[in-house]
Amino acid sequence: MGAKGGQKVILEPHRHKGVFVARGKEDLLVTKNISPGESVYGEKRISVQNSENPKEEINGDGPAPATTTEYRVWNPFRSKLAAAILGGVEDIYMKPGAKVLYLGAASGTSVSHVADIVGPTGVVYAVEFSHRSGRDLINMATRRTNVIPIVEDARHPLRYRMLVGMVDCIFADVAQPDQARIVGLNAHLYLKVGGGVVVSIKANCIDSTAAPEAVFAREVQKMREERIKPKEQLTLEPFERDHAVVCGVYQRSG
Amino acid sequence: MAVPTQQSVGLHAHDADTFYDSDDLSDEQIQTLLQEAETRIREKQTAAENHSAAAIRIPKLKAGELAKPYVTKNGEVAIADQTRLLDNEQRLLSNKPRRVEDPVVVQQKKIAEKKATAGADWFNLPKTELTPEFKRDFQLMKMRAALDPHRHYKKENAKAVPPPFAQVGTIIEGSTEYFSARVHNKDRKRTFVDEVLASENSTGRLKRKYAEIQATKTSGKKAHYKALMAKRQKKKW
Ligand SMILES: C[S@@+](CC[C@H](N)C(=O)[O-])C[C@H]1O[C@@H](n2cnc3c(N)ncnc32)[C@H](O)[C@@H]1O
Repeated sequence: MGAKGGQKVILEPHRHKGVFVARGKEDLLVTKNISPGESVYGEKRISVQNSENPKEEINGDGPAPATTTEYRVWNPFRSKLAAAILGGVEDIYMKPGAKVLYLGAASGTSVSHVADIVGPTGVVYAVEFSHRSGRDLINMATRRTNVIPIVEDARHPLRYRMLVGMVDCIFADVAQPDQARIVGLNAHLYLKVGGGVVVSIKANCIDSTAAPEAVFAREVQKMREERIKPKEQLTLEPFERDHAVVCGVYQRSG
Repeated sequence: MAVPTQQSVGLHAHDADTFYDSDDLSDEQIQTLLQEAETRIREKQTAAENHSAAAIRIPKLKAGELAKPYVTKNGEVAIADQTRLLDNEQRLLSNKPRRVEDPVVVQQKKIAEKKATAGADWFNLPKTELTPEFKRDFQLMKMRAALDPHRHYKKENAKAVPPPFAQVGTIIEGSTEYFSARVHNKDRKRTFVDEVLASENSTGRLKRKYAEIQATKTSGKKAHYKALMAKRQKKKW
């Protein structure tokens, strides 16, 4: 990427709640760093000097002192959610204060941005079954107290029932042939009625012989059977090949 | 039941006559009879009352330790025990300055704050400070497509107004980019406009482009025509 340390950018809100855009020579998608001073995976950051804040005048001690706010650059080539946002997804079903169940957290690079979006009043339950990735995930969660790392197989959601409460949104990127079933199992246990489902589908992970479009259509049908009403489907080109994101809303039974 | 005979009925009627005939009793006799009845009733009543009074027993009153009064009397002087009138915590609180929260003022403050920031959904990003520098940076950003021929941008609305909530920030390079993607401290600029001007000074690209455009734009106009005619006239001679 062309942006260099030291350059100036204008930071403004993105259409999606909890997400921001930094505009300079190019536009960067960014989230507000919940743990300022650190980058998680070597990503660029943006520091903003807040002028003294007159509204926070405390007990007549004069205005609160100047502080810095920090944002982290979110690379769409490394995160499918970022790719979906840049691709113009209508709704991500997460915002500050939301509770999100993230299936397939890997080392937590994307999870860290979701943690930024939901902020200190939200929670991200991050499930990853590989112990190797799980270590990085746990490491990341030590600096981000709103992330609850869970090293478990998402096919057995009852195993983490003591850790997870009802959530507003399930994000899934497990890259498994039975992803729709995994999402369903978790939704029936933890997703509130009307809650959002966002799944990333990698066509050749599910069926490497069929055409990607056919695979996506079949996955959407499977989600319907799990009582998830599909709302939109969008391709992640040019950031990922033969990848789609499908969003839906969980419905009451009957 | 047997039907009574005429005779027996007659007999009863006779008895009743002799016993109840009011003409046989004098007024005094009636008076004494009534008095006797009254005393009998009264005796019965008092007997019943005595009986119920014996059944209800009033328990003895046992109040235990009595609370000590706050005010004690010492001869002619009444003394109030200060420590017991108000506990220490309350006393300390009452000696401190107190902040009174007027709900109307609080509400007004909340509304004002809401307008001053983008709200909780964007972590209270503050209102844009429309300094001259910010306005120029924003204006140049709208025209950034002209700055770099190798970069492609989404079409920008030329009439776009500055966003209501925005801040100016500085990029911090990634942890592995110290040498590859970092502007030296001495080359850093205060604003986006200054950065563009600095690179223009070294490349001169914008100036060159301006000259090129001017050359094509002025072709066919007055100056162009004059130059052309001058050329032709030279040829004639
Ligand atoms: C494509 S990666 C996810 C990348 C991540 N979402 C990101 O953008 O940074 C898929 C991950 O899902 C994990 N995974 C696969 N099957 C799983 C299961 N049944 N339960 C939990 N995690 C699983 C894999 O270990 C892998 O780390």
